[in-house]
Amino acid sequence: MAPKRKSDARKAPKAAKKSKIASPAPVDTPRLLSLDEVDALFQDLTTSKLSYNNLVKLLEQYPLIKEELLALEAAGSEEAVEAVETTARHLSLNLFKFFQDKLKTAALMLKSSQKEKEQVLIKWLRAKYDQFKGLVLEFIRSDLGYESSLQIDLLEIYLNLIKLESHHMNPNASDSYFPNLSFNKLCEALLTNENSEILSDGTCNNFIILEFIESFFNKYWDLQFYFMNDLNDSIVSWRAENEATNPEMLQAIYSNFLTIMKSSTMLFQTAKDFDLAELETLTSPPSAVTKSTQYKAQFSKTWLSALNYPLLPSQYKSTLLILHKRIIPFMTQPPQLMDFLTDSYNVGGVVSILSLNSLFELMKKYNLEYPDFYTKLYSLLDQSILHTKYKARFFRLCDVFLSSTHLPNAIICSFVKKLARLSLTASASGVVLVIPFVYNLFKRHPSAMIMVHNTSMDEAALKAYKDPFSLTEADPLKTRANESSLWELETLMQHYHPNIATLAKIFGEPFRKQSYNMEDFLDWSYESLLSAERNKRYKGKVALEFEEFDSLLRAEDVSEEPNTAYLEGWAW
Amino acid sequence: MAGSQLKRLKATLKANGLTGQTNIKKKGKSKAPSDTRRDDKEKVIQGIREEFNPFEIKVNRQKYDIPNKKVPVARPGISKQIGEDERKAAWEARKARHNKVGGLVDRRFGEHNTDMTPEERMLARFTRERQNESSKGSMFNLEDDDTDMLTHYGKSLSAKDSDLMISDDDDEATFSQKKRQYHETMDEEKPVKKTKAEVMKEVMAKSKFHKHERQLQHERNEAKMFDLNDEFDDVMAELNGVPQPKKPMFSQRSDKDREYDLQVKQLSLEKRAAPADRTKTEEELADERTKKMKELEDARMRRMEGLTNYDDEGEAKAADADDLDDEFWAGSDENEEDGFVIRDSDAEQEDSETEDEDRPKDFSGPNIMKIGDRVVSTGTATKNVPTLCPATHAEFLASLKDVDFAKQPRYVAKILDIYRPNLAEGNKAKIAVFGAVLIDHILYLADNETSQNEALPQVLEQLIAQLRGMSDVYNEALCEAFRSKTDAIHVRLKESQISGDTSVYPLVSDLVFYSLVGSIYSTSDHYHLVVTPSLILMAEHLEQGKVRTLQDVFAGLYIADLFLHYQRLSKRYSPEVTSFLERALLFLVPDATKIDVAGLQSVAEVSASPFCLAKKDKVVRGETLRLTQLYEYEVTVELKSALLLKTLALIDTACTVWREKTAFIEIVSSFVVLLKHLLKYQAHVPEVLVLLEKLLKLSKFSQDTHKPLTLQSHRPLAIATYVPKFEENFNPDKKSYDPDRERQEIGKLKAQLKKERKITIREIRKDTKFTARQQIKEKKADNDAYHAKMKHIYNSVSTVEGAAKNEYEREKKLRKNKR
Repeated sequence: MAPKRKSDARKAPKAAKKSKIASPAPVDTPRLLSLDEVDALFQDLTTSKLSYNNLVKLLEQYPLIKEELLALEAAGSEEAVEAVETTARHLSLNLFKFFQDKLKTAALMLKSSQKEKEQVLIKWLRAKYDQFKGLVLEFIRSDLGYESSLQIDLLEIYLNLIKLESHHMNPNASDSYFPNLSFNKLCEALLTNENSEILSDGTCNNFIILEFIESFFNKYWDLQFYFMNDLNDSIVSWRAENEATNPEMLQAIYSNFLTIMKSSTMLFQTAKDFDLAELETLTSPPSAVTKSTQYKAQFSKTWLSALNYPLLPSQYKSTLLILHKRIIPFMTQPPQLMDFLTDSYNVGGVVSILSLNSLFELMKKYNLEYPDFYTKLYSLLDQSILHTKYKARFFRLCDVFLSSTHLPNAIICSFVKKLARLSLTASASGVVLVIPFVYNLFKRHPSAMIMVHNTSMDEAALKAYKDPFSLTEADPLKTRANESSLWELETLMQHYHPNIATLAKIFGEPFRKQSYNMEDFLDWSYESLLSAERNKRYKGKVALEFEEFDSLLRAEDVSEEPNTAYLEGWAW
Repeated sequence: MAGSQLKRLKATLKANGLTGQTNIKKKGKSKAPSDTRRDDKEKVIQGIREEFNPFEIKVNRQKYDIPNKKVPVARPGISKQIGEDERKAAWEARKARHNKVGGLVDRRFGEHNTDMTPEERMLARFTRERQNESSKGSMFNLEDDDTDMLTHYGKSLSAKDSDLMISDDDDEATFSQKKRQYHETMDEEKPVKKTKAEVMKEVMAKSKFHKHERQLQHERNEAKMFDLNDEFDDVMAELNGVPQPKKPMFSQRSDKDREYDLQVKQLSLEKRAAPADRTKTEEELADERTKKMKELEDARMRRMEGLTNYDDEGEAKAADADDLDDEFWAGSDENEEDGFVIRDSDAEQEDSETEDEDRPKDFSGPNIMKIGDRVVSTGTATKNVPTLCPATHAEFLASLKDVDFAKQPRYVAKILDIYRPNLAEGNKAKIAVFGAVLIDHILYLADNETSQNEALPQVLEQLIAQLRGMSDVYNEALCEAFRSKTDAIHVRLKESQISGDTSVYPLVSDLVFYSLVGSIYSTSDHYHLVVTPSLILMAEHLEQGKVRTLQDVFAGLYIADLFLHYQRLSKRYSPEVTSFLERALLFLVPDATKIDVAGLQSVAEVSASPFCLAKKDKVVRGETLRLTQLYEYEVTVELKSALLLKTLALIDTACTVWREKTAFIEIVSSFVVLLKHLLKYQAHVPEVLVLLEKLLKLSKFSQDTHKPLTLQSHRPLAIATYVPKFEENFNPDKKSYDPDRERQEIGKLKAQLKKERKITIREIRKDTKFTARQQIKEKKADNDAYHAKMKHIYNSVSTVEGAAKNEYEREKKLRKNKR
């Protein structure tokens, strides 16, 4: 039924053009009508059935308006744009009112009791109605070059039509009905919207989508349900069409999808179904929307298809960021994500760190086995780990992974040694993080303390001692870190920041503290260090440099002078 | 025992043989001595009394019967009676003295008020006196006068009273005498009431009389004047007639005498001999200097170790600041036009040329000044000689508009000179504000002056020297200025991180700012109010600043150099510097992609940089890295080589600073990798090889200290134990088993104090109750006496009345009968 209607809608304008019903202006070259003319046409339209042909003229306006708007926006004349928009708004509103009227009086419903002539009229009207919807969607989809409130208005009109359809276009009057098809078309129009621009976090800044989310999607559960319910096919077909030729489009679609998914509120955290009365809905949907299993199945399917898209790195990251909290709990079969996650984990760098969270979720809840997990985890400790902004996330998890007291000492030592080595070039926040982390590990695994206190060697052994630790060894069991020592942390006892230096000195003191609360140390930054400084007040005299310098800077080529300079090798 | 109390008493007395027949002889009983018997009798009677008066005795109830324990017995009735008696006696004594013996009430103002100054006190007394005078209640209330009068040695302080008591100087007149005198005077002056007409007449007569008097006086004066004028010539003639002693034409005294006089005069004027301060020898001065330096160095060491408490140091330094203060301004006296000792050849030259023209003594009115070799009239060019101390940088810039660029330091010196704190009040605060302006100005110059300006370095150096000179005296103001600058820089740094815009940060002025902090403040401190924030900022720059252009490398290298220079004494480690040097070197070396990433420490991925020294590029020397040119540099081989050489030099410095660190091998490991790589391409540069060899050598030495750590080799900690303590021979009566003798004593004293307090309170209560009771009793007695008296009077009156009535009746009857 649906595709047929669609084709009807496409044919309709042609048919309308050919229609011979008289109209005040010549039909051949459609032109942009003024507000008054539009009003006059509507006047006729509402008064007599004879002037239904005015619909054709009115519907023809949309492509014209769009062209005009594009041209005017390019020209940059705001007032003209405003005028055209007003006309268009007027037009849309009146058309909406017209069809609303028709829908309410069931004038678009075919019934066997009607006469043949009436049926023809209804069919024609129906075609016009579909054409109207198509035009509206087309308008919403297109990029006008600026944030047009007209598009938002059209979106609202479309959703109101869906609401009306749900009430009045019901094939069986007894059941409640949701106009799947119309809504699905809207979803497609939104996802393939041309207004999108992918942001640095992989989402988009499309104002239509944001409006849709804020005003409708988050409010009404039925929209959320049917969004998930029907989208899968479109996603799959888009992928099939564009994967090879146009990956940018898929990325844009994904960004829209991610934006909608990221900000939506979710039901069905548990397997329980809902009572329809508890939910806020736009339409009066059938009871299917309360079924958790159906939703979850569709949700899983859609997400799995969406994740097959060729993603941008930023999209990859932001998806992984929400994966364990917003996606896994709603899936029927979360282990289906395993391949995706394993792949991400193997990518290395930030993506690996981010996928760790979801992977851990799967391991914890779904008993996922991961071979050589610790080797892989160890390999994540590369030069960049202490410099990324996701380090807090990583160390939170790492703390969990290394908390088992059954881990071999060699693994713990390798981690500690590697972290200490990395902290030699880390930022202050990294160092602040590493010190209590290592302390906690020592507390939990006292046998690793040999790295700060090793008295097992005699004189001869000491003399011949050479650090056996191998930095390049990938397997944490074989690095021989447990025979090494943490000179790095001893060096950090002389860190330039007084507090960090003091913190590092805990390794030289009795381990009396039970453990450090890692949360206190995860989110330090230079900014927080500085703001801590800001609170310090002037008490007593500030110490001055007592050495005398003749000048501040001096280039080397004048160094034969007896004068002294603060800094040499630089010139003003 | 039955019967009444009396019967029982009788029976008891009898049973004890105290009543009835006393001389019954008992057989078989030996005679006891009469003395003992009498005592016995007393005792027995006492016992009987107690027995029959059970409420006289109070015994504390015992919970447990403890053998051999003396039970204290109290006689509340008796002790109460004793107390009552004592109180009564005291009360009587007090009453006897009441209203008979008096104290002195000090009614003077503010006598015990410490808040009032003597002047205020006197003023208050005076006002009070005047008020009393003006608001005297009644005209005739003579007695009241002296109640509120202020007196001194019995004399009134008011002017009016003093003339009433003129004759009292001899102190003999008693108060009554004075009073009498006073009454007399009052009597004499007592006005007789006159009519208005009389008064007016009197007034007119008086004025006429005075007028007449004046006229007479005037006439008399005129007559005298005439007489004098007439006689003047005569008098002059007389005077001229007197022969005058003739003066010698030449001094007759000899030269010797005159010389002698002169010498005497000189001697009298000459200063008395006093021991002069001995000029210190060179060695002594040097010694003093080294001593002072040693002191400062010791203080610095303490700060570096973080041993000094902030507060102590403040005090210790405060004294320091004072003597430095003197030196600071003493210097300005010697070197008036500058106020600072700027060891700059040019500046000195100028100093000698412009001896005291700049002294701003006479900037009122135009005069001609010679500056350098130009003759300038102050009326025009130097019209706005610094008459105001700029409070904002904008003001300062405006006032600098007419000042020659190279003369700016001199201008600043002038401001500092005019507003020397010892010249006027408030100068110190003004200059403190000016300090912040000066910082602003230095940074402004660093940013806004073109690097082509040849005078710029010198001007900047001189301004910085001046700022350094101020840093001691205006310590707090400059510290706050620097701290607020730090905040501002951080804001800009954040902004540039977000937007990636290098025109916001790093500016040349930021680099200059860090150097200013380093050159002014002691950077080796464990914690420092200014240095630590700027260290954090520099570290943030090194860590988060991207290395994308040669400019980035330039700024980063400069900051890294400063950072290392900050730590030249304290030798603290900074991961950020290591990381940055590594990245900078990686950025400059050719073919960076061929380097094995595993050997690097802070870089996970190597990408070929577009600005690296290409393989065929030879390192060119001679390019000076000029700070002010930071954003004007083109990408040239010269710049690249200069930066590369600088990086190598910095790695060298870093190695020197950190060579003692136990992790030295680890720190330099990636440098070794990079240098080995570089050596393949730039073998002809000697620095590379030299540095590499040095690193390897130092690493080898460091191997000796690279032994397993024994950080936990402190004494094992004792675990706190808690064993209950048992007391042998515990005695419940013993109040305390406290082993601490002192605490026990204190406890005892406390208990005693508490007890005493309670007793005293009880006594005071009893006293007040007694007093109240006594007062009521007295009042009652008074009332009773009064009533009795009144009754008696009534009685007597009614008796008299009755008698009179009787008499009247009798008389009446008598007269009736007579009629």
